[in-house]
Amino acid sequence: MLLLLLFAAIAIIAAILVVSMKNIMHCALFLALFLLSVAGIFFCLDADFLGIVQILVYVGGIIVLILFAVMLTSRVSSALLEQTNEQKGLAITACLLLASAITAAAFRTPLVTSFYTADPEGTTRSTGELLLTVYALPFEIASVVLLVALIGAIVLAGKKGE
Amino acid sequence: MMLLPFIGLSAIIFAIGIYGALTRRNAIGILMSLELMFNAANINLVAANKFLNLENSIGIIFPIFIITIAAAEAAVGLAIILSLYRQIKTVYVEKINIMKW
Repeated sequence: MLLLLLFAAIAIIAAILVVSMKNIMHCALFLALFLLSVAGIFFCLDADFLGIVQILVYVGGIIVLILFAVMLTSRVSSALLEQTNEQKGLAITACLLLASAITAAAFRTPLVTSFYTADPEGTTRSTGELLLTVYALPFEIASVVLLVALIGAIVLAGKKGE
Repeated sequence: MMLLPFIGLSAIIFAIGIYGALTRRNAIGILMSLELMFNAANINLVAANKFLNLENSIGIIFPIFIITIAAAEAAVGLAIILSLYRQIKTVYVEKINIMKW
């Protein structure tokens, strides 16, 4: 419980820093911290396989991609530029309204709580079985989507005229 | 231990992500805010799986697909940004107006 509170606090602080830091490189590093603390929340909620996937795919893959893109597109002077546009006040108001609306809607919804008893062996076995039986079709479609995204990224970012 | 604090947590993170997507000038910053929103949704689903005991542990399976799509989105999005940077030498979204009539 204490660990969960700690992870949640780190996640919120890191998320605020991701959207408010001036240097986009520091934002990417705080995004890595945020993703790691979300993985910690997953571990605390008995979703160990998902926590490992989160660390592997997000921290190992997407953060590296973002860091590459940041280093390929930023100039020395860009750290001094203003990073937010003039809609700041309006955006803060809209976001506060949205968060309070979601929370209010959640409080009004009657939810029947029944605890999920965690498998002592972890969720990896049951997740794998479900992925290859009940969810086999979405699993295959996801692999096709990944292939298309891979080819699309190569076509978009590759050198032209060769 | 209840579901509601987790819905609150993910609502806060989602709102922070919306704020970043609305106010960032750097296109990579907007993509990072999108990742925040994906993660808010994932926290919601995992907490629902833990506290509502969903059928076929859909709360564990669905985030896997969300993470897959997020990875594809990040790869294609960053490729588009790199391609744009090569063409017009900027990643600031208010300067990318070549399709604006």
